[in-house]
Amino acid sequence: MPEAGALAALEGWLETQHGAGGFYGPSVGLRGVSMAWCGPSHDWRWEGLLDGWIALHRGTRNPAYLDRIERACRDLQSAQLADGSFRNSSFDLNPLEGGMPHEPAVMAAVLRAGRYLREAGRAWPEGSASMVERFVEERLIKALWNKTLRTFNNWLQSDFEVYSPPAVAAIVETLFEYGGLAGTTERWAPYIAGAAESLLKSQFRDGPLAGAMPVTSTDRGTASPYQASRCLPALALLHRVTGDRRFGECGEALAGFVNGAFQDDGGIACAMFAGRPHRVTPLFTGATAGALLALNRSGRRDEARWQRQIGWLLALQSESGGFDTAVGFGTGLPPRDPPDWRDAIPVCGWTAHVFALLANRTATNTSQRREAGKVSREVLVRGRPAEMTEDADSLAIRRRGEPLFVWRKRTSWADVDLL
Amino acid sequence: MTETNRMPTVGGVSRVGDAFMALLEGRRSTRMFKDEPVPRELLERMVRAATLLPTACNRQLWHFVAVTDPTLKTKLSRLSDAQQSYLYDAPVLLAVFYDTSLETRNPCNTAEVTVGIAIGGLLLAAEAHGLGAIYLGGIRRPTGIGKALGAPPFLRCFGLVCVGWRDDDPPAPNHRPVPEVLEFDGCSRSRPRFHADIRPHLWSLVQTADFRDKLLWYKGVHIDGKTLHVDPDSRSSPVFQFMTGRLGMMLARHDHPKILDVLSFNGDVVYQLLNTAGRQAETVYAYDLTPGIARYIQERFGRLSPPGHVACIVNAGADRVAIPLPDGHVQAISCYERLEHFEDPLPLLREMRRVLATGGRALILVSNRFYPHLYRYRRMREKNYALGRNWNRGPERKFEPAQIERLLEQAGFRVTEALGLQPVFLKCAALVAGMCRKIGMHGRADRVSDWAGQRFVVRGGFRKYSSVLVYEVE
Repeated sequence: MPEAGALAALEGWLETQHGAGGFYGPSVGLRGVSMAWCGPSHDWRWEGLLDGWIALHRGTRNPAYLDRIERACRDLQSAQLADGSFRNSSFDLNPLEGGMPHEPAVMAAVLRAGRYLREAGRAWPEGSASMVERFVEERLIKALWNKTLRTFNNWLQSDFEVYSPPAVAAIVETLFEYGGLAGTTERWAPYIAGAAESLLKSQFRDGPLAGAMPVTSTDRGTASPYQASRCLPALALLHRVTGDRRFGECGEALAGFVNGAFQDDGGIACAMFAGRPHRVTPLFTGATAGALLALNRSGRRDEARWQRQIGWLLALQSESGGFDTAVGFGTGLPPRDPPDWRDAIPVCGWTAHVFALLANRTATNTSQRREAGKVSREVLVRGRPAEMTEDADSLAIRRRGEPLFVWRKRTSWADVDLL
Repeated sequence: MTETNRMPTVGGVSRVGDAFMALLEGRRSTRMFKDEPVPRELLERMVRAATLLPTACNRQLWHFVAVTDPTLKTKLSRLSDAQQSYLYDAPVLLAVFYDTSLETRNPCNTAEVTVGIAIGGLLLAAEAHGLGAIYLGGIRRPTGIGKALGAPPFLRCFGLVCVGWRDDDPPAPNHRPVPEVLEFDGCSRSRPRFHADIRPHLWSLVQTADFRDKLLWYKGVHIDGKTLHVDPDSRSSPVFQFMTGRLGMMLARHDHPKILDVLSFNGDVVYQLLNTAGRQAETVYAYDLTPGIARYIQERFGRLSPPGHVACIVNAGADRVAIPLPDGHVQAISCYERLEHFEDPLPLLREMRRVLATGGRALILVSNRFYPHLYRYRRMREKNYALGRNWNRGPERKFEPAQIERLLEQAGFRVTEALGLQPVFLKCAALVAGMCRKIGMHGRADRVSDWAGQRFVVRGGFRKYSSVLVYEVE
């Protein structure tokens, strides 16, 4: 199976990103790029990694994966701030705490991992329970719960009428998991009920975006299929637990929208609009993997689609074992050759989703980690050619020998960042 | 004579007076409310207190409407355009109106003064009854609020008072001392405390310090996550992100560096430094002009507990800039848009140079005079420039690149790198992208936006036409 080899290489690459305190590396997203800060970040990379390790241990019974889960819990504990949020959790806006939906998504994954550790006969690392408790009590309930809207805000600042459905969905999952683990389900029921209603309320009912969830509740003309797909597991959970068919119907309509956003040649559309043509590119590899995983977790896995999309993803793995971040940054389709540097640069936060996807596929196979290879490829920086090189110890982009970006792996800051 | 005035006195001050002063000392504006209703009787007592206070010619032109219906509260919150959570969370919103038909057109604005006195009474009565309250005066659409509440046109909404059971513990703000505000038999004050225009040369260092101190406690960024928050968090802005990144790369060149943040104000830069490099740094010094600012930072960080060691230091001179650190003490300095507060920033730059160790670097960001800030023209047109962006920042002076470079040289710095952020052509690109979208050329608009997005940082001659100038100096 080609997936097994890809996974082995990817595991090798991920190990080159790991250092004290977590997984390192620059971030490239839609909101921006975080290239100077390359230190340990606590965004949705942990969600992909934890889910991937759970899947791999389930398939291989290799205790090393449980060790990694425990190590992740300890890394996250040391990254938590007194108000319950986590340092450097804002992905492409790093270094900045309070990232959404990153923080609740990571906490939900930690809780799933805690449940899995218990099933596997291991104890949750000491302090993990109080870390989650602090996040739920201090961050979610004290700071983000909006009594008037009866849902969770995304931030502490103004615009109190706005919430973000993908973040709310992640919070619903977190509260369900936390209630189950701590035996406090009843206490969270009113919060979950309010948040669930807000999810239903924000769904587009008709028009070109019918079924979609906006990124923010007040946005009536734009949807990100990947972000929307993040609501699917929570809706499936709500349907299963409450038996309320509205959640089932909402999830079904949303799944229809997400499925419609996958491109035949591979990838998931970047943004879709009600009043203008959709914006297909950049096609993020991690977003594609994440959307497939969300469909899978909500019980809507379509094997034919998986095959096609995974084929597209595997073609974007570089010799280093990492995956390209996207296709079509800046130029659209067909992609330019050589690609834009933002397409080519491997980003841990996105690649972790690909890791979880491949781990789900090959969980029955024992994968052998492969050492990360050395890569040198041509990229475009602001339309002009440059050379990107990567090995186990560094990632660099140079133009005619002049460094534009140099990062020594496992260090918190780039040495050079002229991007 | 009333009963209370006949109370026994100690040193000329009655016990009632003491109790009243204690009530005032303990009063805070409440911004977090418990989800519990306020008994009608208490509201009536508050309004009774307000109506006992003096009104011009005893016209008693106020009118109060207590709003408890959540839908109506939400509507009022939107109409006030305040965007504050407490408007939604407070169990009661007291809309305070005054009767414009009873208002005499005199220069003393007696109607408004009367309502102001009544609101003061409401706030004190709330405090005396164990309730929390906050007054919101910046009502954008008073007519809309009147309509929403069914008020006749002659009643004008003057403000909203949020009332409820207190669920926060705000820190004590700074208050101006009495000798500063009270004089006897004449007034010796010759200079305005704050000039109505943004001209730093009219401000002494003491004035600047005072302004920054008071402003911080009024508009400070959240201390415990919610209580004081008014403005959006600016740490996700591209300029701030750029500065953090550059600073981080500078710090990585040193082992356990000592870092100085110049004029830390709300401590955002220091907080960011601690969260990213706190464990690597030996000490992060947060330097500002007043003890009040240092206390604010200590209180904020005490609750947020960022990692690493921070030391708050206060200006050592009463009327001159003096950083209380020995020569060559720190390896890195950050100065994030702070030189603008000074007509002559040279003394501050000299102090920065003095405390910078050999081989150390300073990162200085400063606003560029040549950048066409649209808000500036808008504010000027509205004749309200002084309370524009500067309401949040204090006085500002823009510098030309040549000016700032000369100042850096005079202070003994050598510029190792000069950059510009947010060049003016980004604004042009945004205009072009907007026009493309209007005529349906969305693909082109996306490409223009992407092109511009990659050119946030510029070098060479273009930096002269940027919003922010960046100097890395040694």
